[in-house]
Amino acid sequence: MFPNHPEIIARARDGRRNRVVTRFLGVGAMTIAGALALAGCAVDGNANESGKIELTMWQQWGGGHERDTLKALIHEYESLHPNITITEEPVTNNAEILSSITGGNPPDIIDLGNSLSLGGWAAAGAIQPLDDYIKAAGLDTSQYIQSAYEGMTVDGVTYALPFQVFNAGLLYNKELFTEAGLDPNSPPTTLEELADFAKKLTKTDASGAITQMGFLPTYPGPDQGQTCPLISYGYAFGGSWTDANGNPTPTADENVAALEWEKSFFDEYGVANIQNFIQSAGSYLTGGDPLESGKLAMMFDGPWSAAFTKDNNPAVAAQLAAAPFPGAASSPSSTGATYIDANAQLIPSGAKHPQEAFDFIAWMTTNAEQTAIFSNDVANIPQLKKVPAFERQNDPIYATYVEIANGEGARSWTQTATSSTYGANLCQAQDAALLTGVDPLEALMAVKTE
Amino acid sequence: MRTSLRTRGRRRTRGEGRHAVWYLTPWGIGVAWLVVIPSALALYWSFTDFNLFNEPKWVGFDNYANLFADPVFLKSITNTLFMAGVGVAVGTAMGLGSAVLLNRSGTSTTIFRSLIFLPAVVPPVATGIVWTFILNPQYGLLNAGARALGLPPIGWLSDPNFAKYGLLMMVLWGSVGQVMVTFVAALQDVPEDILEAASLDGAGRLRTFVSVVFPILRPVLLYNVVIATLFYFQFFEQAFVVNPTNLGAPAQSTLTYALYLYQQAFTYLKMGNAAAMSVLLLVVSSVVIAVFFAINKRMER
Repeated sequence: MFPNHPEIIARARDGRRNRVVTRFLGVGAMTIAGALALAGCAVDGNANESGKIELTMWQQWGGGHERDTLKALIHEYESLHPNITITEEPVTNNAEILSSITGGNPPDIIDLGNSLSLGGWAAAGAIQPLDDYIKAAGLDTSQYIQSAYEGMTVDGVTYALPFQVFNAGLLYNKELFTEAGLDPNSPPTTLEELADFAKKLTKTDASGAITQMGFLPTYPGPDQGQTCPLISYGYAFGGSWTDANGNPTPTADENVAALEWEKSFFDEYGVANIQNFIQSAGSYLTGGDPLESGKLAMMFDGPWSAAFTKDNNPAVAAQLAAAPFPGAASSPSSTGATYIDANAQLIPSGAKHPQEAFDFIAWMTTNAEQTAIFSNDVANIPQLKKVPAFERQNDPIYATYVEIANGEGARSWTQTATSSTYGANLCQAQDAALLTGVDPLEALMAVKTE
Repeated sequence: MRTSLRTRGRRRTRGEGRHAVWYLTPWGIGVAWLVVIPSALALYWSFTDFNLFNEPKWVGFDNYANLFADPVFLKSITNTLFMAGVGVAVGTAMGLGSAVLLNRSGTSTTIFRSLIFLPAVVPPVATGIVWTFILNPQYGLLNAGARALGLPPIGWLSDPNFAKYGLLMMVLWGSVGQVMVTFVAALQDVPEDILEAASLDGAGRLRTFVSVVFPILRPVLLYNVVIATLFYFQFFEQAFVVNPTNLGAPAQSTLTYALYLYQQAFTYLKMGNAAAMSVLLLVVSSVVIAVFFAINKRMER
């Protein structure tokens, strides 16, 4: 029951962290922005005489299969609400979305592949607060997985509703464990043990080049369109990236320890060797990906990676197992630490039919049957605490991720006006420390938080 | 540049000016709408706190001051200057070199010229994608050659020490052909009789090139240097394509000025900063180009 690849590739690459579509903007950025702002006085009014209301939705799911799943969901809603039609359109370029909002001609509904931009967009006034709609509709937000719902709020104000949760954990290859003399049923229980296992699981050839890697702390990571792993590793050391008031704490001891832990791999194996190993592997989520081709023993990633391996390389897939990511020895309670996020369903400022748009996103995010169908099709986790049983739940790897999502270690990114900038800069600090040898503490001290 | 197309001594017929206005109007509207107004807006925004959604708030030179206090901004400048320096020098030298070598007639010359020019017709984005394969440390074509010579694999796009060179190779591959074509055209304009006169005076090949051919090539050289400099100052496409999800990776070593401008505008929503960057770019580009023209002028004397 695992889905086909191309749509998931697109989804995993584009959706989870929005790819910005290639476009020459360089110096023309201002020109285009200006032109769009001026051209904003475009077509208006799409409620026709018969009282039918047409909504537009810009969505960041993958093409093909995932898009079909979304269309089926929309079709279901339309059959229940004959006066509404919804046109969905894939728009993965967030710059394009912003331009439409400043231009005064945005869609009614936006589905963002992750919530990274939410804080900044909310603070800028690009998207609408939903609290009044929620209150008027009597929508009970406690039915959502709380960590995912919290990621949709900025300073206590709800700006989006979560749909389809995703997170990460430890995926590992049991066959490689056995070959290295490790017990395939005992994944590492601390980060220190993980580093030890990684040493035993790493092989080099006569020239010193790495042929098999135990663990790559930065893979997949932002280069593959994924979340910055440093953030989750900070949680694994018991750290937090913000204090109780939401102020950034990049240099908290635990966070520095997390970056030092990542750096220990680069010190051990050499920056050039690791980078060459990653660069030489095939693309992420293809048969050549290091995990999928059996050259990477342990990886911090989501269930979609296992699902792809099943499509691309069944022999390796049969050897894969999942476990909560271990915490540091100094913080055993941090086992299962991971970011947690969801597709954010939101209403842009200037939307023509905000109430109808809200009715739809409220329905889609709280309808248990539709949520289960969607999760089963796209291998994401239901955003609702209670949904009817579905087939994919029998897959042990998927089940492990559901457990991790519901565990204590799943943390959402604290949304503030500057949280997207902060998150991006943290990842730059990680790269600086790991690739150019900057001291971890210094790198984190240099992180601009606004 | 040549000025032979300039019309001289013709008296203007009556009403011509009025007609010219009509012919120029569509163009004028286009320029006003797409260049003048956005540029004026950008200049204004550069002095404001503006995130695309708020009313721009006047902050004077704050954006400019913030930029110069931002290490990433400074890094994007050094990255860009490095690539511009190396790229312009190497690209012009390679273009001129191949033009001199291929400035003769014959089938093989034509084939070589075509081969060198061919990459120029490939769109930059496609170039970027193909080159990510060529530059792959393990199975890439380039390192296969390096390995045959017993050299260690190089992470052309993944090692911060080499990524700029990897990008430059990509760009030069696509641009040397264009530079070459302009030089070949200029070389073929060198009058045969002058070359003959030089050889009768006993000038060797080098002497002929330096004293006779080069002065004739100088306007074309100026053109190529100006165009290439402007390209590198605005360098965006290939730098974007090699890592669209993590711009400037690895470790901001390929973060060009234009990429950072884009990030300021559309990732960080700091349109004021982005506008200030575009204004600075315009000013600096103008100054640099003026300097090139001044040098050219001085050499003319």
